[in-house]
Amino acid sequence: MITVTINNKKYEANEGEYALQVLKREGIEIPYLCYHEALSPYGACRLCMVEVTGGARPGITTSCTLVVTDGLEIQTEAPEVVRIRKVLLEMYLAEAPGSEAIQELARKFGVERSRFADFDIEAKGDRCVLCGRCVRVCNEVLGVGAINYASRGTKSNINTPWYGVSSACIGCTACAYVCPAGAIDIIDSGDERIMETWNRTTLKLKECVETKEFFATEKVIDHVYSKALDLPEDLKEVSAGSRMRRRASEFLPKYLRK
Amino acid sequence: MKIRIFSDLEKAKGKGMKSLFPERTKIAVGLGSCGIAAGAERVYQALKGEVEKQGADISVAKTGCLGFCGEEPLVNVTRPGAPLVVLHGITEDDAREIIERAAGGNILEDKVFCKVERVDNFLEPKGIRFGTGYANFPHYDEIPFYTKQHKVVLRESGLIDPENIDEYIAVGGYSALMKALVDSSPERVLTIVKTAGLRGRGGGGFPTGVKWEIARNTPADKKYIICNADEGDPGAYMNRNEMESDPHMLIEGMIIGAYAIGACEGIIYVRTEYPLAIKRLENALEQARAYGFLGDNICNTQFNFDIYIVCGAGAFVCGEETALIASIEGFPGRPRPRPPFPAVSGLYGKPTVINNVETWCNLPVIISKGPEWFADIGTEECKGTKVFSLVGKVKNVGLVEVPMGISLKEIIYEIGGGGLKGKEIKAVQTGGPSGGCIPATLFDSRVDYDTLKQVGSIMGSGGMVVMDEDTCMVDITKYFLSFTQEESCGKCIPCRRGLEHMLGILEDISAGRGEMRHLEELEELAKVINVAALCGLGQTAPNPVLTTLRYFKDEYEEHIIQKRCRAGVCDALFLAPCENRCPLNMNVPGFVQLLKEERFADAYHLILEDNPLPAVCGRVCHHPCEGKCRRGEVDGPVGIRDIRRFITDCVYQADDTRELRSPVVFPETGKKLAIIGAGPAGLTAAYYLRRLGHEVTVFEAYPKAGGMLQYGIPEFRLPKDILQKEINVIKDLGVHFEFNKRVGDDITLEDMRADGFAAVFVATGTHQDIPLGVPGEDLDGVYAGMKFLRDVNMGKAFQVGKEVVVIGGGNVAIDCARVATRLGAMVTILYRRERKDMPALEEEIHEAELEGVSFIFLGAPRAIVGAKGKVAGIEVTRMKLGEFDSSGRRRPVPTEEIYTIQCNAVITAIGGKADTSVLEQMGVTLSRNGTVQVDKYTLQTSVPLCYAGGDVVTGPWTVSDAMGYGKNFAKIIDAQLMGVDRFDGLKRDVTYSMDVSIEPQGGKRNVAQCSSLTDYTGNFKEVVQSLSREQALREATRCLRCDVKPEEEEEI
Repeated sequence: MITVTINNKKYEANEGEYALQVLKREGIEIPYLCYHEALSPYGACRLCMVEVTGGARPGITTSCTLVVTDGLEIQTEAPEVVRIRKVLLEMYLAEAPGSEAIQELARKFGVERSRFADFDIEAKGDRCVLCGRCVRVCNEVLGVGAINYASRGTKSNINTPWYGVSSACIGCTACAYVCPAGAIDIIDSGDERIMETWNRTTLKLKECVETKEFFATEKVIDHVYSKALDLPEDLKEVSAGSRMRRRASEFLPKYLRK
Repeated sequence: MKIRIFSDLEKAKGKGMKSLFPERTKIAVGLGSCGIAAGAERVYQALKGEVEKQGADISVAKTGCLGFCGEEPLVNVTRPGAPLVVLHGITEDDAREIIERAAGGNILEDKVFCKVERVDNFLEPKGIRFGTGYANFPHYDEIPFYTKQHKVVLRESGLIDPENIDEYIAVGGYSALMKALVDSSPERVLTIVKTAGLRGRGGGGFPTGVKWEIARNTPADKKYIICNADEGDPGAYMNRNEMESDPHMLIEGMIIGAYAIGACEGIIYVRTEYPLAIKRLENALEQARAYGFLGDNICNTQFNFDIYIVCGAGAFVCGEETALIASIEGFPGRPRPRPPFPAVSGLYGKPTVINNVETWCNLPVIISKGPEWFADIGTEECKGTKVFSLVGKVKNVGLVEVPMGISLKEIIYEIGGGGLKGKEIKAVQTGGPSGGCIPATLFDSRVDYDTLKQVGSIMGSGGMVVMDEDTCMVDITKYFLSFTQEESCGKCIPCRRGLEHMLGILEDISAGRGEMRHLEELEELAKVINVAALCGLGQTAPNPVLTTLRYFKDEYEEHIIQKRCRAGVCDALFLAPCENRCPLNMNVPGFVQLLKEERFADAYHLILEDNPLPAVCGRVCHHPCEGKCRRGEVDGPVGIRDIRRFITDCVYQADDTRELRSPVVFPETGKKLAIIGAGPAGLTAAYYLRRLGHEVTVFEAYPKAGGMLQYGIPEFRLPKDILQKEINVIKDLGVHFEFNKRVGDDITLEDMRADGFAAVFVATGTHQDIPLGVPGEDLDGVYAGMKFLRDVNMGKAFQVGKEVVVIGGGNVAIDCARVATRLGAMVTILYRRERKDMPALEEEIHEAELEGVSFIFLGAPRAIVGAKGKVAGIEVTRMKLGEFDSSGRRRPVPTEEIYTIQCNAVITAIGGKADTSVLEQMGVTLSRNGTVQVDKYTLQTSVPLCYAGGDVVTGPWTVSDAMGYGKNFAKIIDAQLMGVDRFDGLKRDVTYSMDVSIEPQGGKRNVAQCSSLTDYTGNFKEVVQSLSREQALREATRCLRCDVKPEEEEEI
């Protein structure tokens, strides 16, 4: 265990962890978009900037990429930090005017209006903030790689190859799950899952043999079974609820008999 | 053949020497990309063809770039035993003659640029030696472009064949590698590099040895080195040339580095836009492999290393090292946060050293000559040299290599030769779009990492873009920002959205939609982006904005407040460059076109709307419009002043001016305005204010109106009847003149207020001569220039004496000299600088010369000597040229030498000043040089309701600038008094053809005739005549009609 000082108060931290992890654990308010505990640090949203006042590299830096060291001193509410944070939030409001999650985040940190709001919002839709969580979850966690960045600069967007229907996407919805801006639309309709945002990539859903509800795409089931080879085969065809009931019904009689 | 030991190297060297110094004449063409762009490839083919055709015993070879890109194509001719002679500006048509002469042992003399007898290349004790001879050709280092250069990295560039490894070995190449591998341990090499103090030449300036040491000390199974050749700054091409002209130097440097670091693989990351560099590198790598410099067991040591080329797609962000690594790995070129630094975890997660091309190129010479030798060049903190590509608005364009610590002044004025066509250099941008604009006032700054940072710029990789008065700082900032915005990878929002917003603001400002709050917003965004952006591209992208806001804020303000772009670039803000430059914003293309259509009356009216003294200005205006005329780029500017004079002269001669002189007059407003001084500023203000319906009274200390036009400029330049004619137009409008009323003595500001004047415009000019301040000024026969002119103009009889010396270099000095000539004197002008530095108009100087005035330059008066109370001579200190000052002129400095000129009169004309006693009495705040301080945009002085303009504000300046102040005042005060901008309502609609021919018409410029006189004594008749009708009409067709703008093109 090492000690770090945040806003003049001492905290314990684990060697090698990132400052943002400490801030989150200790409940110290800081906005962030691109950080996610399941993903590698990316340092793109620039919102979690803090001022390092003591230690080897003083200055303003992102806490999600700042590895804590013993004696590190940081300030999360230094005037310069707050100023930058607010200007960045203004930019986010302009970049994703359609995202309520972003508006809420901005409001929470005292930004209601944006001076930069009069820009054309181009191909990438009006909710995405390009934090890249979806890209990382799809590549790093699932190993699917259905989406990635396309183009650059203001034309930057996250998309499928050639902006087409993806043959790689398995319809797992992890992208939408990690998205902090609510920018990814997925519609389940009948036996189909339509990944609206990914150029309407459409996947077949599997029907639970017991409840007749559609519970996962066929590709997700295949993907899971390709990764975890020792899963019982009979779980392929049942939803999570049915799975629980089925296992319980196998287990309970044995228990009750005793 | 593998080169394993020193004797192998000697063998290769022998081959190289034969190729470099052949036994027959050799002609080598500079075939860098710069040369090829100028046509060198065609020259090369033509020369080869000629040799074959003529059967000459001459070899034709290739070489790299000698650095002076502005003189390309360059061709080297080497006869055995003779110096290498460089020919410049060669075309295919010269090929035949070059070969013919060379075959006969001769040189095409009129194309000779310089000769090279000996070049110190540091690796050879005696340097590279050619023969000697050709005493009349300058040696290359006598050419100012080369004199102050210190070529280390570029030492062989343009002399050896970049495609021949033996020539590189002949000039000492690969001996450093041998020395390092055979004689030194890797640790020893590392120590040498650290001791030498080499810092990264990519721009950051990180100590190279330290970076290497980190990588060396990080344990890993594999280590990499990378050469960053992703050069992408606009206007920078140092690295390209280094690779094209001397690729082996880079390769040798990289092998030495790899040895010190313990790397097994090297990668040259070069952009696909550099095909020639790639081709030459590939060729060089193959040759190096064949000689065993790459591969296994290099030079019989256990060291294995090879180099590969990776071609980048040309994204600017890939110059950022983490993005570059991502690109090599096959990912999109997007940077990642550091740490970890590549030296710890880089390519494929292994320790990786990334250095710029020039950094690697410095290594062979450091190893050969030792670290102390290297550390001796440059400054304490920055060792060695730096290569810059000197481009933009500078005479000598090319690659220059200078020792660190040289001043910007030396680079720009001495090596670069100063501005183009005598234009004033305004700033220089170093470090490309990541750097900043350094203003000319800071050109004393030393070129090193820290000084450049202090002034707000960066060293960068070596781009140096010179900007002159024709560069708009808002526009250039917009350009750099559009570049970085375009090249932003889009990963982080400050760069992605912030730069876009900044660019949007700059576009608004240059289109005339700017507001003052925009400047604060720009600054705020710049500071946020600078801290918050993820990588160097974003962090430094606002630098051009920050530095231009720091040094050129007035230009931004002019764009926003006055909607004016003084450089004449932001074309939404003006009609045409001539109109934009004119202090009165005269519609030049309009009246030129009307003349072309032979609509004299309409042309005259259009002129009169913009300028109440057209015939006067047609004679004495300093016509800055012509300096901006785009026809000047073709074959000389349109004679705008002459055309205007022709139109007004025609109308006045026809004498049917009643109808013509009826400009628009608004109904009476009942507002009273006072103007002090009936000079050009006062008359112009009166003219417009009267037309706007105000009651105007002009108070004038002298008995006549006109100011300097009446009492300064002599009759032979401006006939007084012409002046009177135009003053009468103003009088006829109903302006009151109160002559012989000196403010302070005869009337005070309080009197005027009491009389109900709503505002007072002070335009009293600068009528007092500045004294020389040397002994003897009180002698009989010493005249003050302006007083002298005034006395002559007032008709005082004068006997100036036989021999007169006029001191000064301005228009007043020239006028005094020409008046004295007419009074029968032999006149000499004494000026402390050189002729080209004289502030007087070139045509005036020329006419003075024609009239027999003689000049002594580089002489400053020390004392006026007298005999019996009368002038007998003048003691002169001979001056010499010293350092350049911020105006780009060399400052005159006194020498020990003193001599005396005999004369019996001295006229001093070194400048004028305002009568400060009167101004002080009014209570207005004065600046240190005695001029009235006004707000630049409102012309308001420190006293309420009191405004000022003209020379009393600027110091002695020009007629048209003073008139511009008068016009501006009228516009400002009218809007203030009336609450609306009514000024444009004074204009009448005149339409004229907007058709424009594709090709320039009308041929060369038409020159007005001068009355040819041999004896000027007593003759005050006007010298310069009007253009003839034919000349004027022809001249009008020369106008390119810059006011005709292309229709908006549809975006594709």
